[in-house]
Amino acid sequence: MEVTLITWIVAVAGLLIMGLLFTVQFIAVIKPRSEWTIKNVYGADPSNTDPKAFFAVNQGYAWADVIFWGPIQIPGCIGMLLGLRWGFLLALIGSVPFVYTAITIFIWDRDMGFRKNTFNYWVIVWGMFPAFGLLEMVYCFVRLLG
Amino acid sequence: MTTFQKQLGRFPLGIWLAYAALGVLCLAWVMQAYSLLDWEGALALGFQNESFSGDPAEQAWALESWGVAMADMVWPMPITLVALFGMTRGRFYGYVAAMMVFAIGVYFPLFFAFQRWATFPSFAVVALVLFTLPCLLGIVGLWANRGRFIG
Repeated sequence: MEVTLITWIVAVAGLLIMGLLFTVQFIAVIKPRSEWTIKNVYGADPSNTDPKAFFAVNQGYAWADVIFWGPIQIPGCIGMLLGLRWGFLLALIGSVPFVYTAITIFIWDRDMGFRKNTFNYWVIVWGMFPAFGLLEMVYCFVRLLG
Repeated sequence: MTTFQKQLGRFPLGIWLAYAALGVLCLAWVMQAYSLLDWEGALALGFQNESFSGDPAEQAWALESWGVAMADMVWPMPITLVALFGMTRGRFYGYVAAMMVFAIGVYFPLFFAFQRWATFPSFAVVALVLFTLPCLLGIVGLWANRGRFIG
């Protein structure tokens, strides 16, 4: 498949976003209760709710991201850059959890009082993930149809 | 891969496995929809594990489960319907939608299992066997028979 400028933009953005997410979630897996992880990965105070539930919820996402999501999204983006059909398909499949987790985190943060009405929260912490997921999904789907 | 391409009646084995995976996912979405309508009833039927009237830990878990149930209704459930409709018509969008929803079918039992391993290990195993395994087989089955959908 032809690798265009948009392919490069989507694939590199995917590598950067998933690379960042995979790295911080991997740190959360190996250091689940460290101060750095709580501040920079979970981004909320465990004492605001039951700490055992708080850590378990976040650890569930961390492990699933490291075991499954990262390993399909990253090769998918590399496959896109190589112009391989399976790369576009894998990236399309990998775009789905971006939207899915955004919904669950949207509700969890709202109900637990973790949500902050700041640019950093709505754009960096929450918004860029579903926005990129939708972009990647539409782009890969259109390319695969072509 | 040839095993998944073996014709069994109307479809090859891989396509049957994909339909079976979509079937178990539909079962999951029905359970989630019922939970949103009647949480305590779903609790009594074993669809959910935590009550909103329990201790703070249980309430936190119930809120998390409610969020996942809502996400299931908003995102993977409509994709499942598109997958079923498209696959029965032999369309490429059905194949893609099925692959997309299978990704969720693998992902959600994984995070559920890692979240609940300490509290409900049997439910974690059931989720992995009932949903992750069929969805992985569905992915392989569809990939082996991609020629039916890709012109």
